[in-house]
Amino acid sequence: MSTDEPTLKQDKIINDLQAELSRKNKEIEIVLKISSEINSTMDMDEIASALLTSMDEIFGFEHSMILLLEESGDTLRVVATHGYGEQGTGSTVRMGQGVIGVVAQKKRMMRMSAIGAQRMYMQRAMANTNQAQAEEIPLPGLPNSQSQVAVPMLNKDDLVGVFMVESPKVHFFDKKDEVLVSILANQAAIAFYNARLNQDLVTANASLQEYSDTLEQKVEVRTRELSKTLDDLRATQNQLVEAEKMAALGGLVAGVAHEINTPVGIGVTAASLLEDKTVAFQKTYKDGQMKRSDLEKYLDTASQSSNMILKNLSRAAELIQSFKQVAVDQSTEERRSFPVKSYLEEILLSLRPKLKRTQLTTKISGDDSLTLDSYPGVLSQIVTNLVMNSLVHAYEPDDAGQLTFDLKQEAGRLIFEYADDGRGIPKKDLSKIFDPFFTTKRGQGGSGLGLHIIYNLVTQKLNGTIRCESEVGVGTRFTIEIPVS
Amino acid sequence: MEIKLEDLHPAFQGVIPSEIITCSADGEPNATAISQVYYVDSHHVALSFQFFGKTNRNIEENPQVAVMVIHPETGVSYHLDLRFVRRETEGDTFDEMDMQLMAIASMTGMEGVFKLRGADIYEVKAITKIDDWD
Amino acid sequence: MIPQEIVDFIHSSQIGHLGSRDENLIPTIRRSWGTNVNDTKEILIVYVVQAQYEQMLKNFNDNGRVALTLGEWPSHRSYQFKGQFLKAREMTPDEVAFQQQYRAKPIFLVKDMGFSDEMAEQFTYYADFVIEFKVEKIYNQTPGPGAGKAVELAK
Repeated sequence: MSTDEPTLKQDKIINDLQAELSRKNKEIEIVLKISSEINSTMDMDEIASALLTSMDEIFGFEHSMILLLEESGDTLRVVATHGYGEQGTGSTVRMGQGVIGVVAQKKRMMRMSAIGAQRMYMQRAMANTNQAQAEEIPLPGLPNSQSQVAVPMLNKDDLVGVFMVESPKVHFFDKKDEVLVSILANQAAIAFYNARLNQDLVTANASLQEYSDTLEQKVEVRTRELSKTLDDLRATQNQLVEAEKMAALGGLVAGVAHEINTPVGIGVTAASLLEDKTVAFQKTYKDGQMKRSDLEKYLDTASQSSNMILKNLSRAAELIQSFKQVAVDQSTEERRSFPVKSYLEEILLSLRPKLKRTQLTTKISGDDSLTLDSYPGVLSQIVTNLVMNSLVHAYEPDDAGQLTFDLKQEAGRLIFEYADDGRGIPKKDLSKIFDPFFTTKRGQGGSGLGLHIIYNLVTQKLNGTIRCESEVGVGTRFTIEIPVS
Repeated sequence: MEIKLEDLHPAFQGVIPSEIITCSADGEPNATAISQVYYVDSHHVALSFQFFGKTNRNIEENPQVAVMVIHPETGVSYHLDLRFVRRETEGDTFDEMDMQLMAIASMTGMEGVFKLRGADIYEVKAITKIDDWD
Repeated sequence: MIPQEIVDFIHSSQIGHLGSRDENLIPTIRRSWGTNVNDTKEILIVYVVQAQYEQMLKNFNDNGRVALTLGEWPSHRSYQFKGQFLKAREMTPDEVAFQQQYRAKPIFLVKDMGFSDEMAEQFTYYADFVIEFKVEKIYNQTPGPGAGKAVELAK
C-alpha cells in the first residue's frame, strides 16, 4: 500500500467536507433570499410564484404546487402550480387522500419514493384477496408521480395548506431536500397566513368604510329627529313657564280681590249705616219731633261713618293702585327708573293677604334713595316667587319666622339679599333648586318652576346673578346682584 | 470501513422491495419479500406488521432476523442482522409508517382496507455489504 | 413433485433469494441468479455467486435446511420452496449458457425500475456456483392475506 494513500484519503475527506460546507452555505443563502421574496409581499399569487419558481430554478424541482385549506376545513384547493402547464389550479384534494391529503390531516411532512411500485404492491395484494377492485382516485399532479415531498404549511398549529414537490423519477428527493422544502414551506405558511389576514382586513375595512359613510347619513337623520324633539320640549317648557306666570298672575288677582273686599265691605257697611241713620233723621225732621240730641247723635254718626268710608275707600284705592302697578308691571315689561325700597314695600303690601294667614313677619332694610333703572315688573315677580317659595317650603303653616329684605349698592350693582329663617335646603338639593320642575312638594303647592322663573328673570331679563346659600334648620338666603342701570 | 445505518437511508425509502428471513425454534428458515424497511435511528429499523403469519410466529419463537436491502442509488445490496425489540402501536415511527400506508391506500380508494397493525422495532446487530462494485 | 404450473413460474421468475441458518438459529440470506428444475421435478438447481456464499455454505453443511423464494415482477407473484440441501458444485457449460440467458430478465427488471443500463449490468451477476436441494414443501408467497398457503406437491 502506497504511503500516499492515507494522505489521499484524508485529502478526499477534507475536500468532501469543504464541498458540503460550501453547499450548506449556498443553501442558507438561497433560503434567506427566497424567504425574503416570499415575505416582501402580501399578494398570495406573488408569494406562490416566488416559491415555486425558486424551487425549479435553484433546486431543479420541476413540478410543484401549493394547496390552501378551504374554509370548510375538509378540502384543500390547488392555488398555484409550476411545471404542469395550465392544469391543476382549482382542483381539490380531500383530507386524508393521497400524500397531500394525509399530510394535511396529520399535519406532518412526508417524503415518499417509488410510489408506483408501492401502489402496485398494494393493488396486487388487494387483487389476491378477491375483494372489490381498487379504483384510481384522480389527484392533482403527475399521473406517473414516483417521488413526492409534501409539507404542511402551519401557522402555529393551524393548517394553512400544503406545499408539494414531485418527480416522475423513482427516488428523486433525499433527506436534505426534505429539510429545505420544510424550511421554505414554513416561511410560505406565515406569508400566506398574513396575506389572508391582510385580505380579510381589506374586506373588513371596505365594509367599515361603507358603514361609516352610511353612518354619517344615519347620524344626520337622527340628529334632525332629536333636534325637533328638543324644540318640542323647549316649546312645552315655555308654555309651562307661561302657564306658571299666568297662574301667578291669577293668584295675584285673587289676592287683590280678597284684600280690596275688606275696606270696600267696611265702607259699604259704614255707608249703609249712614244711610239708615239719615233716613231716620229725615223722618224725625219731617215729623217736627227733632231734638238737639237727635241732631248731635246724627252728626256724630255721620262723622264716624264718613270717616270710615273715606278711610276704607282710600285704603281700597291705595291697594288698587299698588296692585295695578304690580299687575301692570307683571303683565307689561316696561322699563323705568324706580326707588327700590318703596317698591319693595308695595310688593309686600300686595302679598299681605297671604302673609296675614301666617305667623311670619317681614323686614326691609336699606338705603331709601336706592334707585334702579330696570323692569319693576320683573322685580315684583321675583320677590313674589321668593316669598311664596318660603311660604310653601320653609315653614309649616303655624311656624313663626321672619322674612328679611336687605338692599345695598356696590360698584354700580344692586345687591339684593332675601332670607328666611325656615327649615333650610339640604345640600344635595341646593344644586338643583333652579332646575325647571325641581320641587320637593309636588302636589302640595310646588310646581317646581318658581325658582327656575326667578333664575331666568334675574339672569336674562335683569342681566344679573343669583346664588343661594342654605343651612338645614337655620334658613335660606338668596343673593341677587343686578346692574343699577 | 464500518458501515453506518444512516448511510443507507435511501435504501429505506421502499424504492426496491426487500427480503426478510426468519427461523423457527426448530431450525426451519423462512424467507419472504417485504415492501419496505423503515429507518428509525442509527441502531434501529422497523418493519410493518401486516400479513406475515409464519414470519410473525418465527419472530415470537426466535427474535433473530435478517433482511437484505438495496441502495437505490448505487444498486449495492446490504445484509442486516437484526434482533426484534418490541412492537409499537403508536409513536413517531408508527405514525410515519401509518401515514405512508394511508397515502398509498387512499390513492386507490383502499383506505381502511389496509391497516397498520403495528411497527416492529429491530436492533441492527451487523451490516454486511454484499456487492463491492462501488 | 413440483407441479408443472410452478415449474413454469420458476422459469419466468426474475428475482431469487436463498435463506439458511446457523447452529445458533441466526438466519442468513443471499441472492440467487437463476433456478432450474431437474428431470424428476424434485430437485431445484440454484445458480449463485460463490464469493457471496461462504456463510451460506457453512450453514447448509451444518444443518442442511434451505429456503428459496422466487418472485415475479411486476405481478409480485411469489413462491417459497423449502427443503434439504443436497450439494454445492461448479456450473456446467450448459448451465453457464442457461444462466446468461436468464440474466436478461433481471436486467430488464432493473432498467424498468428506472436504473441505468450500467447499473443493471453491474447488478445482475453472472453466477459461478450451484446449490442443489430437494424440495419438501412449497408455499404461495404472493402478498396478501393468502400468503403462506401451502401448494400441494404433485404425485
